[in-house]
Amino acid sequence: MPQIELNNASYSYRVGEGQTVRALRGVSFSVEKGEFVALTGMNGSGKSTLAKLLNGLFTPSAGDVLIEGINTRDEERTFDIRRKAGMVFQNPDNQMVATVIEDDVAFGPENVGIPREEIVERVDWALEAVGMSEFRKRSASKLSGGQKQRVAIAGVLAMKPDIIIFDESTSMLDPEGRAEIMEVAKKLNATGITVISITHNMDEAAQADRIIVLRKGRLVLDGTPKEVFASPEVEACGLALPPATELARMLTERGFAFSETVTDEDGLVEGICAQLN
Amino acid sequence: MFKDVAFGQYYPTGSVVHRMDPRMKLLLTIMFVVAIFFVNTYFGFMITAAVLLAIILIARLPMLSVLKSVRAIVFIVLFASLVNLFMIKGGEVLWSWKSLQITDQGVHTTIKMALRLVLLICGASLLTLTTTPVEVADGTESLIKPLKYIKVPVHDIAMIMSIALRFIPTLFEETNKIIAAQKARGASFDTGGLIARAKAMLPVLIPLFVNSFRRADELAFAMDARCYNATENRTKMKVMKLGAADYVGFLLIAAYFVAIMLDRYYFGGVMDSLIFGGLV
Repeated sequence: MPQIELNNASYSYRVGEGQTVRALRGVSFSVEKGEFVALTGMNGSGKSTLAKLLNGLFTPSAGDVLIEGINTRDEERTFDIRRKAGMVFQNPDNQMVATVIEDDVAFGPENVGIPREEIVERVDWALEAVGMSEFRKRSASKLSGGQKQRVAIAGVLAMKPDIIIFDESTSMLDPEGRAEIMEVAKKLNATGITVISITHNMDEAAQADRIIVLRKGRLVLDGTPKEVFASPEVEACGLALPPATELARMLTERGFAFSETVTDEDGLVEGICAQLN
Repeated sequence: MFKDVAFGQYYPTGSVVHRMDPRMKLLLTIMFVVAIFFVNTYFGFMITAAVLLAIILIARLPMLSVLKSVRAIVFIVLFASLVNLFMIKGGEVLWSWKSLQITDQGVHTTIKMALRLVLLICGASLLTLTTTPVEVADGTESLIKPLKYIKVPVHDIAMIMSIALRFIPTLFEETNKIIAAQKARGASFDTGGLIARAKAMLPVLIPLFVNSFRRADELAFAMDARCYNATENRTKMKVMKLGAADYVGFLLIAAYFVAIMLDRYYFGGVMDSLIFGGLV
């Protein structure tokens, strides 16, 4: 059984009298445990809506979303789903509930009634995992954006999730903050946690095992970064390729031949060196 | 320019007073505030000052930090003193000019009122200097918990308080950003009369409001995603426990309370005449 399964999921929302916008149209895919998936697409492609379907914040208008076999429509098991699939949001300021960092990390476990001693253990462990232990007694308002997002990740980790969804969690951060968050995401993925990263940054997407591209609410591409970047459809989706891929493509037009699709700088360097020899 | 609201006036020294249970500190502050309104002799004020001094020393707070909070009420005290001084009539007339007159009772009442206000603020500031706002909120939640039996949504009130505390610095930062953005477009906030200035704030308040709603919406999603529910099943990481210091503190303030009551109702000014002789 796949860990995440979407069967023909659609979602529409009302924008006024009788008017609805169809944000997602019959999307189906599945994700296995431990995958690192980047979900990408232009603004309005439905990627954030899709993210909110994955932990039951939204329920599909048609079709089904199953998390470890549990249908997100099953209201009695909503909390089970949200414990399994944690979510880190875009704005670091708007997802912090408590003033003091350790209290914020404890918020989730407190909500689901974990015994006190265990909460303390989990908070210690979660803050350690994101490298924020020394800040535990501090106030959240004094942190940098990247640090705030790391605290948000710790808050999700304290729930011991199997899946973490990053809903454009790096888009409001500076390059340093982005790198911090990507590093933490990769580290967590290495421990077996499935990572779903919603992003429009192609450099980030290139670091995933798999990229899913949405366009106007439909799934148009699904494959490894190499497969997706090689596809002619990528540009029709309004996505800017990573600079290295773009450069390789231009070189190809001028007669260079790359044996495989370039996704990062290392690949570009290797490809060029191979040509020179 | 804006001190971190999480710590407010908090002056950390790690003293035993700082480590006391916030519930006990709140309770003792209330007891102190009630007691000080019963003080009506100079001897009573001396006891009060002595108690405050003892707490300041134990808490290792600098005198200046306590006096700073008094600064905020200097004008109120001065104004109230002037009014009292001329309005209260009784006893011997010390000075008069046309319809204005100062009597000896007026002088005593004025001095006592000023002392009462100043000591009251000093006492209350001891709470905020040794306790963070978050602790005060937690303590309040715990103290008002019994009200849930008369259907007061105690947990919701506590959640609202802590979220408000959490978002004050965020909104303050945002206000500054909006002001800067409006200035960049030529808005002027420090010219014109009072009404013109108030009107100039409108382009700041509207985006601030709209953004606050958006934030609230996102926060609600984030809380939902973390399984928030206001039910009985919630646990708490931090459990407040009364320690030895709390009982000692209680005894100290209780003794003070009794002393004030005895001074007022049993001795009734005897101590004042003993100490100050003919002055009072």
